[in-house]
Amino acid sequence: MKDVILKGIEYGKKLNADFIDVRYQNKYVANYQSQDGELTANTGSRRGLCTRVLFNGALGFASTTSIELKDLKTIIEHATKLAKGAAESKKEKITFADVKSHTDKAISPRIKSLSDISVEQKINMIKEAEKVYKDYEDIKSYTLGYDEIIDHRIVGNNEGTLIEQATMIPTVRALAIASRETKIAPYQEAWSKAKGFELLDEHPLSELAKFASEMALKNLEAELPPGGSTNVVIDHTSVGIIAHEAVGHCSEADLVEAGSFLKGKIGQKVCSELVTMIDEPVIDDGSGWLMYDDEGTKGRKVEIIKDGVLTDFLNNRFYAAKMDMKPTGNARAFNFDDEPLVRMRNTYIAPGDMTEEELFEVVKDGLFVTGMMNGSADTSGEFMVGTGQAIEIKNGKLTDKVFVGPTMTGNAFEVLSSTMGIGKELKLNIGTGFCGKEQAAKVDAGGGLLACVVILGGN
Amino acid sequence: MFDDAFDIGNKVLKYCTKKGMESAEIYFAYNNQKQVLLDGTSIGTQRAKEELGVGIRIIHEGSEGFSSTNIITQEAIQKSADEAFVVAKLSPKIEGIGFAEKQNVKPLEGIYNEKLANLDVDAIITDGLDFIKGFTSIDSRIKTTLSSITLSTSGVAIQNSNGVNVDRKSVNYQAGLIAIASDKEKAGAFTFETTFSRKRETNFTEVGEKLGKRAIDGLNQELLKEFEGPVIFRSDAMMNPVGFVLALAVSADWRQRGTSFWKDRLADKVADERLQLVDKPFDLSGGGGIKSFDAEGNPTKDIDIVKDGVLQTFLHNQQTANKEKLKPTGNATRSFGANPSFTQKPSMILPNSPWILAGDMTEDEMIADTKKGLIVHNYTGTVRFQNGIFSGVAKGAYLIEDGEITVPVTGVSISGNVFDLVNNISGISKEYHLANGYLTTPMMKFDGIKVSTK
Repeated sequence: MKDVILKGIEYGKKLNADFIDVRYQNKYVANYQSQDGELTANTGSRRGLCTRVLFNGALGFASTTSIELKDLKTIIEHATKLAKGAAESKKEKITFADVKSHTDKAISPRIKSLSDISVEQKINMIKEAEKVYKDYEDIKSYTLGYDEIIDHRIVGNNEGTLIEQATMIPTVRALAIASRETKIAPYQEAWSKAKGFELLDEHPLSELAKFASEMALKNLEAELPPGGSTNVVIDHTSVGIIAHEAVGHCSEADLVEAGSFLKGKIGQKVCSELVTMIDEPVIDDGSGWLMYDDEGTKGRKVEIIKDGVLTDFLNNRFYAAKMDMKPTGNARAFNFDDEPLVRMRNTYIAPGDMTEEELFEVVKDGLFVTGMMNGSADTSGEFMVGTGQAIEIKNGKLTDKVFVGPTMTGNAFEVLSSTMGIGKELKLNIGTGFCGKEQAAKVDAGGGLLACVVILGGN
Repeated sequence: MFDDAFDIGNKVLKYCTKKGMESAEIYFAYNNQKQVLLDGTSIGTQRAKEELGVGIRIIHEGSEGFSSTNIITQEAIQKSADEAFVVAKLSPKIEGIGFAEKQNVKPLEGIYNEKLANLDVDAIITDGLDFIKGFTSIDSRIKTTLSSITLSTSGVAIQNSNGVNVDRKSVNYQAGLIAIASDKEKAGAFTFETTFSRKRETNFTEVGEKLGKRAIDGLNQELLKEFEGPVIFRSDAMMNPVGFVLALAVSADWRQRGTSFWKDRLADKVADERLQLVDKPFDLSGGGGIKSFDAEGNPTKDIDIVKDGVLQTFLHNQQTANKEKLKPTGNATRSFGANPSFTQKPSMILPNSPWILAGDMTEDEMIADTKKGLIVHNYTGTVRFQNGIFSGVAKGAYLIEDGEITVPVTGVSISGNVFDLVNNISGISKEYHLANGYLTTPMMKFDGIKVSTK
């Protein structure tokens, strides 16, 4: 494949491209799940080639499902034609920031390769784990799933970069829906990591099913907590969502340029000095694992906020040039026919120095908010995070009173300015873990437990 | 579009029989896109994509397996069939599982437009520049990002062991557009607009102007203090949360699993008698879901789902219909998101082209009839589809006072229950809008929504 890519690049140079890169990708995706005992599996691969051609400040992109040189040449001609056709209308010319060229092969960490585990083992694992649900009379419906992504990518360009990367990401997920008379309460628990089948040893499906069932049953009789401004301790999943959705997106260079809240604020204090926020290409088994990005740039650790001060943005080569920044390696494409965009990888709020008990004490009266349903934000920093459950904190202690997980809203920078403390332990997990900015991206996020003030859309 | 694919498909079906697979279904999906991105105040990348893929489903002794590939050779598809067969043999039986039977499919003309399919990318660039001209004419503080205009030619073909052999092709011209206004003091929120057409008829300058005005409103939002009153949902808010929740509640699959809130309410009054929810898969004025056969090859048809507030029927695919010894309604759906449809087996049941029928007052009359209330473009937040509870943030919200829209407002959280809302309708507009290229809906006014503010 590398030979085809290199020959394609040579062909592009002959067409007078100012810049050309070619990317190959073969992505195998499998989803095994049992919904109420109906076991199904979706397995399949999408593979293909794409190219970007820069000509006179305009960029053309074309893709094909073929991996033959003749078809690669055709899409290079097509992308060149598109770039040439657009050059005249292009007011603002595209240039790419300089980066060091690399030739390398990178493989995400794994002990037990997902490819070595048979389909039979995966199916039997689900069949065995779903027996757990039979112990819960009021769990009337469930979905238990195991997913895997096995991704092979090669990217090369006319500057000498040639990077091959192989990534392996398993996901486990359990949904339980409790129902009694007219009441229905769902709860989902999931883990996704860049590793091998050993994820299942750390997070057995049966344990997830049990946890989701018990949480759904608790929610069945619970009510939403009172709405309004509330002192909370937020668990690592929702901290991750706030870090990713509300702050992280505001720090992506394309959105900064479009006018996000962080535009023009480098060097300014944007939240509490207790807060440091980082986006990192590789952190342990974080599922946003990305040694090199899809432009072939080696990823670097980015301290977006350090001690409450905005210090850096996430970028690709185009925005690095435009904003006179050092490239960060955040250009990502999900499939072979996606153009790389500025995306996050593993984003987290750095751990602080407090224990869980100390955080409850500092909050005094409020809620411990756990689990995550969904989240979104916009460029003003306004966010919403749907949570799974909330437990009452009274006089600095956790009580037994449980509420249905409320939706947290607010402006992230105001919320982070209200930080009362951050937990010592760093955890990354945002469940099934996909970001959906135009195209999907596998990301991870988290942080230490966070004590702060948010607005709850409660009862 | 599918001549070679059909030929390969027939050979693969014979291969499946020879290998002892009880029955097989082959689903081809083709997509060709010409796309122009818009970024800042300029056009961005020009993209060209083409993909033909296939999903193959095997049913064997009451169990099912599925696999997909975008390598369209007999050998590659047979390999996928083998993989699906392995899964089917390992899986437990699924009650009711089966493929569509051969039936007449009513022709649907007018969804393929040859002239539009051959549109040159220069014309798309012109439309992109018109959009930019539109919003920059409103204010120099407005930019766009992640916006695109796309010409999409697509097709679906289905063959199965029961003799089903159907195909269709269509052309859509659609745009997903975002505008943001910001200055040194303030960053506005995203404002969105989607357009969908089967012709090239959208006035992108006008779309840019309207979106630009909303983006500037985003800079001038006021904090709302204390509020009680009705909320008017515009089209996107009608889709999410209202449309999504109702669409899933009428799925026979959800009913059979006991997760539909309306599971025991067939023939009951479930909503205000003014609510009419219908599926109109042959009405060309509807959205992108119109089609003559569903994702399994069963013919589609017009369906009254909720009539005068009474639940008329649940929607079925082949499996749920088999379970109840009914005929499928033609509502099997493969993917409802970013994944190409060939990568998914038909696992959802949804209306093909849902309509909420219009009411008897104009939008202006609806606003004039509101003493104090809110009008909301978008909703973002949690939606619990099983019980209808939603809780989140109103976006693009404006205050209505004494019958007039007065100021854009921010910091507004709304919560409620969709199944209660449809019993608390206080107005349905005469005018239709297309929400997310899918739901054709009027604006609706609801009482009983809880509004929280900062």
